[in-house]
Amino acid sequence: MTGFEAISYYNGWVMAALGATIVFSGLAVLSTAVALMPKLLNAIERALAPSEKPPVEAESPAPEPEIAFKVPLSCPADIREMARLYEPIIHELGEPFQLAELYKKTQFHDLPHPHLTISCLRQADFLLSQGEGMFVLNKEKLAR
Amino acid sequence: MDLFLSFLNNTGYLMLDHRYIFMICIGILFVYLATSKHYEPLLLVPIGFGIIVGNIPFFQGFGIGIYEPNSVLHYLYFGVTSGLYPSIVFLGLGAMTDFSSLLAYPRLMLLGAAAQMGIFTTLLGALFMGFLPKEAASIAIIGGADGPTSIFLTAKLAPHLIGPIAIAAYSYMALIPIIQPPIMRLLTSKQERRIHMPEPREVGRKELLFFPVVGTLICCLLAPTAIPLLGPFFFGNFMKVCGVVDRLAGTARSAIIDTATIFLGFTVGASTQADVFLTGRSVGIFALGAVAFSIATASGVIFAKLMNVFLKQKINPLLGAAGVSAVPGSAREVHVMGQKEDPTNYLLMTAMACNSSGVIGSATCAGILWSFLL
Repeated sequence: MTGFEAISYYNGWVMAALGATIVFSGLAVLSTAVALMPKLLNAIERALAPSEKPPVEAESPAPEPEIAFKVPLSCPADIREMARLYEPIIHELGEPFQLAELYKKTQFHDLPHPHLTISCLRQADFLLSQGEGMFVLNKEKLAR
Repeated sequence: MDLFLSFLNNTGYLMLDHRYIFMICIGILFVYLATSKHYEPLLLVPIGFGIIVGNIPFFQGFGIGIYEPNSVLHYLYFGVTSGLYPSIVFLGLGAMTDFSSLLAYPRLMLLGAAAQMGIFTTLLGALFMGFLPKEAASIAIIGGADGPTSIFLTAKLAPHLIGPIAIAAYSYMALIPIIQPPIMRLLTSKQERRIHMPEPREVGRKELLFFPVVGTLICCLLAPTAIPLLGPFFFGNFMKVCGVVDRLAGTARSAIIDTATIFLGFTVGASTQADVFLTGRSVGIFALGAVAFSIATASGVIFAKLMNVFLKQKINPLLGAAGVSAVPGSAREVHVMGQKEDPTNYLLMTAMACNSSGVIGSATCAGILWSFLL
């Protein structure tokens, strides 16, 4: 059997329409769940915060060394200013360092857009490659 | 002398005919494309060499060929017919996939759903051409542009078509740079191709941790038949993001997926023995596969344009083409085309979001089609 007769006989129209609808609705539900996830997680965190805080404070033996700079609310437009902001973190890491370590540190300090910034710093030659995935800060350029 | 003549009669040289020679040439072409042109080498090298090995003629009945019980190749082929290799490949894929861009742009997940329209349109086309429903569903899944998913569904519904369907699926994946760009260019204007996507927001670790769990629950509850693919996929991803089993995640995304890919490619290639592969039906499957892939690309792009009618922050419609699950080929193609129009336009990360949702979409489609035809 061929042609439209075959499609109707084997319920092709229904299978195609129903299949497409199910896939769409499934991914739409997943997409909605993903969109709501940050809000839900924040709400759960807020709800759990009072009961969790005391033991964390009691158990923390040695707090992380504080860094002598304030995290800005947004990225400075000037890349040199950004490099200055990253200098204490790099100092803390020790040179040479891996970009992944720097990225982790910047995330820990809640610096905005670390991935993009590190990429810009590399392009502007503020971060110099030493080979084998290790980098150093270009202090000469920073001092200029 | 008799012994020598009888040995000569047993060699493959005397049994070769034009069909085997043709298939061996196809195998050599695959190997050439992979090594010289770098077209999906990880897939085409094992498949191409498998085609060459599988098309060396031999005397039936000695337990040599892939279709003969008790042969070594037959045991290896069990991983294909049982759906074992595709599941393992999905485990590794999950351990490789970074969902952060998808979590940053959840609405792009709809493009992964839209690109699956190629599957359902081709289902109708295959039924129209006279294929039986199970065969039609197996052919249609080529539109998902996902080799392991195509092999998995075909193994369940129409195992006799695994060879041509797998070869068609992987061939079209390798031919993405040839198939997709003309369709993308035809359906979009220059201005649309220049649309920049906003920088993705930072995605927290908890979101990354919750996503595989939520994804498993939503997708696998919707289509439990997709569990063999999506279960390992999300499990692999959870291993990657949880951070406490880095060794397992590392093995899943390297040794395990590589082993499965080698055996999957090689045995699928070897299953294309000329006498079972070179039929009129194979030609039909290849034609329908091309249609499926083209419609999938087009429907993704058209749906992205449709979304732009309602969205304030417009999305680049090229991203719709990455809704097929050919990871990362189609995302790369979208990025390259975006850069051709505007060198400052970086679409790769957002295209990868569509690509990952395409993987989820095509595996869900496979589950749905399987459950329709159980």
